[in-house]
Amino acid sequence: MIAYKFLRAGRVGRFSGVSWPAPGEWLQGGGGERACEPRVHACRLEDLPEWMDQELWRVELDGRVAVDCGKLVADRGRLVERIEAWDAAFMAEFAQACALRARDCALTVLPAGSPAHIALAACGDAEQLAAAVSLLGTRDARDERAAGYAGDAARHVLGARRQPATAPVHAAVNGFIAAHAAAFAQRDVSAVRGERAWQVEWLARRLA
Amino acid sequence: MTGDVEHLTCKEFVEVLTDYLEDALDPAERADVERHIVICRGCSNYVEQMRSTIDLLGRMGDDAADGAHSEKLLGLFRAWRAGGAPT
Repeated sequence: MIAYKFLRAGRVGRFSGVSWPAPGEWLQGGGGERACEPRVHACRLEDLPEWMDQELWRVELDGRVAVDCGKLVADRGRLVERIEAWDAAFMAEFAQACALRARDCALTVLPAGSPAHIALAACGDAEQLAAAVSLLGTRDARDERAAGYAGDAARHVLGARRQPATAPVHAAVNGFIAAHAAAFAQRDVSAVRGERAWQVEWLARRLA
Repeated sequence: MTGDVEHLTCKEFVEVLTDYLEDALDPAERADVERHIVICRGCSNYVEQMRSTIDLLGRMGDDAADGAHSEKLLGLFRAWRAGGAPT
């Protein structure tokens, strides 16, 4: 089956430290029975927001393939092709999309027509959002927290742009922030899944 | 703890790091630790430093320190354990 694989620069596994062979050559797992014993790990589309790293590849998995702990585990795998669209600019764009989603969540918490609501609603990008949140003077703890999610996410976008090498962390963090901003705004932890689903759709559209 | 509805904190990460490095966590716990590493630069750096230290120490042979230095180090360690100030 074809799946996705995030790797560090130079085709290196984030957690295993394993150097993946050149595209087309099989990487054999350890053959253990436990799902997380040294076997080849990969992602389904829906797993992407949680495992971001510098390189994104399409991989072919073979042998026993199972879903476990939010990822795929397989006996062996090989890189098929690198997804060139996945670069620091793409990750910063994803981070910004998530920051604006966190802003939208804040707008459902802030009183309509309040200065804070008006200021955040007028923001069209991360720079404006970071500046607007830093100037907010709300005294309500719930309002402050909702706006804080958006402000934190905006700063991560700026971080991703300033230091492209750190873009995977900023993008992944913003996916996390937006998911939790949704749960906070809706007072419902199941909103995390809905927000993650939105992120998956965003990624699928852009990576297609 | 599964997925990111309930997420590992940095404090919890440090508490289970040794078990993680020794591969003593169950798959779900391991996945939680790795999810945390993805979004936390501080803990990601920390685990890399721990791995580097383990790797370096693992490459040291018995002949890496001579007898006199070993005895001096052991003396300091024993004094520390006994509550005495190192000399």
